[in-house]
Amino acid sequence: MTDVINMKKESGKKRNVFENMPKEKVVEELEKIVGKEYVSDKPHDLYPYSYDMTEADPLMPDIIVIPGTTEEISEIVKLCNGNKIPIVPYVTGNNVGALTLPEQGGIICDMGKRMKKVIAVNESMRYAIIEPGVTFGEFRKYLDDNHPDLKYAYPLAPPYASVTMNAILAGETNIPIHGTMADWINGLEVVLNNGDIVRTGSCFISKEFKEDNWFYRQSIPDLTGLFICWQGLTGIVTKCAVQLWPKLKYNTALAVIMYGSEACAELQHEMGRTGCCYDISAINVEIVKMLFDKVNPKKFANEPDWAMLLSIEGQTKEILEAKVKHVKDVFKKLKEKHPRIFLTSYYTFADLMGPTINQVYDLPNMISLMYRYNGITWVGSYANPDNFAPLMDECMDLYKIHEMEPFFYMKSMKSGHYSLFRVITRYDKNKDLEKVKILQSELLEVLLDYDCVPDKIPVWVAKRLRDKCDPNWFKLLERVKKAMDPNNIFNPGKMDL
Amino acid sequence: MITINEPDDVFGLAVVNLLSPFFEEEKFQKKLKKWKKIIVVDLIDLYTFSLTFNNGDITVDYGGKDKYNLKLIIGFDTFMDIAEGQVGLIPAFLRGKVKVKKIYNIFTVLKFITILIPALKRATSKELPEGLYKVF
Repeated sequence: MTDVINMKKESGKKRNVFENMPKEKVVEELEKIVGKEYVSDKPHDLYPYSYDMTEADPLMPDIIVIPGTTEEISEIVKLCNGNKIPIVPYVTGNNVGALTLPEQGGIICDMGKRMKKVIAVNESMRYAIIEPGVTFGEFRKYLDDNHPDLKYAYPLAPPYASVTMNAILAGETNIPIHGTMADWINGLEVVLNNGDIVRTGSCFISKEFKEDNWFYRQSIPDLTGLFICWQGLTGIVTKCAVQLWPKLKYNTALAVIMYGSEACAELQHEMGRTGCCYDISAINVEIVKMLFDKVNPKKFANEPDWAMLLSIEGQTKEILEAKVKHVKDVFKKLKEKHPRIFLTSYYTFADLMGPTINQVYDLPNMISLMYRYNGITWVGSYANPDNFAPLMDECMDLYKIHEMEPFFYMKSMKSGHYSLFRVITRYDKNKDLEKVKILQSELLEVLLDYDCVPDKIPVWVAKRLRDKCDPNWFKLLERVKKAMDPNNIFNPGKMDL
Repeated sequence: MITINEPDDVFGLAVVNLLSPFFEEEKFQKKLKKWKKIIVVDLIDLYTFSLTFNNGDITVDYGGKDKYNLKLIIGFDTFMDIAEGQVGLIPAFLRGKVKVKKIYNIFTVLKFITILIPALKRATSKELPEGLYKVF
């Protein structure tokens, strides 16, 4: 068993944030940049930024600043860099990795309140340039209202989660056939440590900002990668160009219920490899019951173990039907090997179960089961689909040992190239916190044993990775961080840097 | 007044969803008011659940019962076909896709059909939003 202490914040690391400029003076300078009403160091304003729903210990920031423009952020970063003050980019703070809790205190730069513009949508090349504060709910409404033939894709995150932050953290979506959201980034605008504002991707080609050249990322060094999954350690992203997708006119969804982790693992992978399914999401059957507000749902011996959603789209009805036929043919072959798998229309299944079930289908949505308690956490990962069956079994055993509700969320990504594997734990912070920390650390060990790559990693996971992974990978990570942020002002402490 | 328990199994939850829209209907209340029957549904390859009708109180339980008035044995695919209205319960029975134990309780059979089929029909006859198709 991994020592739980690994997951706790080490004491004595708090840095002297205001050794170069007194706090009062910093507040004054920030007020000059953004205006008095957008800066606060009052405890009641700071408090909501000090915790999240995970098991992480609360960490209080010193000051909150709410900028309205990239130029303001540039000035704020110059102030921080000149005085070695930590600055943590923040939008809605609902990530499940404690990524915006200030490890070393300092300033929270909240872009979620005023930087909420959809700057441009290019219908021809299908991308949008957005500010960090644009949420999934707002983005969906904006596209539905103004560009009804285009769509973005949505994760299980609530509608108030930030599109940009999910994209730069490689978030999952409900069209994983195209990969993670990070795969869809065409370019970024970023404020660097010295206050420089840089554009990455094809938009670098013009000296001035233009709306119509954010279409591509490769054939030049992919500097966008310096900011993807870096958790704000290298700069503050202030604009993001995301690819959009056509709304195909013909859509259907199939549901599968099945027994056994081997069947579930193989079915996910093979359905992914058909290339016909835009989404292949699998969950354990207990989640269906959680949707009906069941607490600690029983799993009866002969009930199915897993349920799966297959979402299929087509430009024409004929294409849709051809895809469904291929999926059914592949399914039929798999059924010879795994007789206890059952395919049906998702819509009929949903009709039988009732509208509650559609919470996980019609995204973005406030999925009630996620907020049953005051705590939710996970060990998220992208994984090798060939390892899925034993991985599922071993993680399920851990949930049983710790008497916690199992919550598995899995997807086949990019037509079977890889998979998403998330073990989520909803819990009562007042009752189960210590138990959850142990469970989390044990789940991580299982995931690492099967070469899963952690996702949105909290500090305690990064520490474990240091012991486990290629040491030169960490050395390179440190070199890049040092080059990009020699004063260690950007979200210091995250990724154990 | 019709009541139903809160079952813990998946199909039990579906039964609650299927039947509860009828609870306020006088015709439905009358139908169940003086009816005491135990009906077992064996979904082949999946699992068995039981419905106990007790003068307006309905209980759905995971598993079968030793004593019952009627037992339906039905494959999942056939059940879903019936739910979608692609095949009727009686034609499915005549083709051997639905087996009935204690079929001699013909009034129980007929009454249960008048409960089950309208419930399935009501649940699955909703129109899908534009762009969504049931292709299966």
